[in-house]
Amino acid sequence: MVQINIEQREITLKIVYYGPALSGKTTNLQAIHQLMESQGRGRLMVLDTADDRTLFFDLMPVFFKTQSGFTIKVKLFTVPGQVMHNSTRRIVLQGVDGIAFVADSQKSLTKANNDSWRDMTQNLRANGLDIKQIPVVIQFNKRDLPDVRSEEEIETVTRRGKEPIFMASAIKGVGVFETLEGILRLTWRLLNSTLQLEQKLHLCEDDFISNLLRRPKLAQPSGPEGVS
Amino acid sequence: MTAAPLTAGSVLQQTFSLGELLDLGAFREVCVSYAELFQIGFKIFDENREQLVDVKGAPNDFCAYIFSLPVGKARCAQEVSSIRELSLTGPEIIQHDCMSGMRYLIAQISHEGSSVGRVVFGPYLPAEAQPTALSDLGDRFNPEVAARLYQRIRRVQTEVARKVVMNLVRVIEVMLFTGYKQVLTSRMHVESVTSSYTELQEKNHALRESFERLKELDRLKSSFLATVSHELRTPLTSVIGYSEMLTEGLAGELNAEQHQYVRTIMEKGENLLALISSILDFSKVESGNLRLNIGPTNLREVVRAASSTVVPMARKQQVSIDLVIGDDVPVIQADAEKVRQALINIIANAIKFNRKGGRVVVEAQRVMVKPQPKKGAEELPAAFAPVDEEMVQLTITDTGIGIPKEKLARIYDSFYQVDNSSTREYGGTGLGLAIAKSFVEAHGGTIQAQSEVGRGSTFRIWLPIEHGT
Repeated sequence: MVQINIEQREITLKIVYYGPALSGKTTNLQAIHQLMESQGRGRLMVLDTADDRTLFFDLMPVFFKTQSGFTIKVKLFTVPGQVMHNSTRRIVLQGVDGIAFVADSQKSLTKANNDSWRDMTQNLRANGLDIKQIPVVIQFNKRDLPDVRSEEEIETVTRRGKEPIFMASAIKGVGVFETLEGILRLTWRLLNSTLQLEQKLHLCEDDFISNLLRRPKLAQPSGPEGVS
Repeated sequence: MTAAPLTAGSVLQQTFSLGELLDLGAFREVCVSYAELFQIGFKIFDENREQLVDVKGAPNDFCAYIFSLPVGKARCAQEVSSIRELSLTGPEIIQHDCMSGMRYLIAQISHEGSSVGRVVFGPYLPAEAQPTALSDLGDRFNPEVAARLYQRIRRVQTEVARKVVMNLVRVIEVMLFTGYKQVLTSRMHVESVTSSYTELQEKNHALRESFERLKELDRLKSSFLATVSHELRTPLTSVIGYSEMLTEGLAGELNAEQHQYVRTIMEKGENLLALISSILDFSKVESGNLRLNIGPTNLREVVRAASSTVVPMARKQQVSIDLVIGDDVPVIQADAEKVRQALINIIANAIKFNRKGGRVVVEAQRVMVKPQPKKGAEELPAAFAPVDEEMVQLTITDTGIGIPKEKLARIYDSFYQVDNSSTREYGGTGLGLAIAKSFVEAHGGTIQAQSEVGRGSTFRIWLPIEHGT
């Protein structure tokens, strides 16, 4: 749930990267952290174990100040993918405004994706949230690996659903910005329709996106691979 | 460092002030060493303008002189107050020159893109500053003293001062990040454990409920079995009774073939009656309706009676039964009928699963028995252990087929037979041992079995001499 602090003129949104274990949620955040202009983001907080598995979550804030003096802050969280950390996932999902579901493209991990999605809907329900009311995008990560589901196959099934799909190879920084942009746009649209942010903050969707996703000119990766 | 209360929702939704994220004691130490290193003092305020740190730089006689004058003190306080309230809109450092030409640098402290406080660095004298004509400082003000002290102030290049401030802000922001990480880690740990515990409690509750439901269903099942068995027994008694009358020729002489048929009806009827009686006994045990008629019980007689009951069966199987009854076997307080039934069931098994020409030995003796260790008893000191108890031990040994080790634990389960195929070969319901165990335990006794495949089994029953001990 978006947090609005009128006194401090600040709006905070919460985006959660969900998905099965080892699908690349932390790698997404690391890539964004690396590719983004340092003035527009905070430090990347990684709470992991000695073997680099996420223990609680990762957190990175991105922010900017509007011309009217409002600070817009988006906190990007990941959840721990391992099955045993379900209660932590449930806590991290509390008050979520948008979800980027990081699926593993490898065919052998289709079941893990499905299980994680079901787990997510259950945890949303436990928090009093409905998956149908929350903006969600799906990222098919690890496109650089062999034996992955083909784009044609994914495109075909995607047409049946409503969630925008993005192809990514987070480890190479490919597709991570597009995924983040996708979920930020959906989230902005939903909040704008309920809170009339555009009118109140004198801020349009494109400015919201371009101000949040500022990148140094030299660090532009290859073009987007999103299929929607 | 103080954290918000746990009840205020998840730590992830909370915002923290500068003071909440820093260990102020340790933080002041860092500030003091900064001031010592650069010889310039500074103050740190949180977002609510509350002063968290005030460290002094090198002694400054000029400012001390101005501050010693009542009017000077008031004007200095006014300067500090206006600096504290200055509006900061971004990360840029703002400079503020005071009435005497001394300079302050003010910088915002940010955490996750939000302002959480400010550093007010100074006062210091900029390298390029020119003496300012001071006026309106009252009668006690001496311009010559002021000018002399002014010349002694150490000057600092503003560029250097700005770098020091930027560096200080960066150090504070790193400390804030570390503090925030620590708060999140510890609080998330507690939240996760609490959430898992709640989930576990809910699951336990659901399990307990379904366990209670199953227990109720089990009770209903036993009650149903008892009713059905009773209803079956009544007409069956008539079938057997009338068959018996027919074989005895009460309704006229039967020819040999008719006699044979009626005897078969009677035998099968009796088998069926025995089965129904077992089910009825067992269902009574299961539904908790087992009642013991406790009284003085002469075990010598009970053992003999039980053995003689199964003698026809033993003869048929060509199995011998030997009784070894110790002279010291006492009269015990027990339900003689139930003890007899338990013994019959075990001896009957010993015969049934024996080989032709095999042997069954039934022994009775008075023994001292170490009490069975109870759950958790190993944590108690030895002095708390119960003393040995005097009991009667009944041992039934056979030379039969034996029971495999891995199946021993299940032999008392109702309707269980070690080898399903043997049900047909040896007959029976698989209720005998279950009933025997229930009867023995109802007396406060125990039953144990040892066995070796191919060599035979030994069942031991211990019964207390006094009921209820």
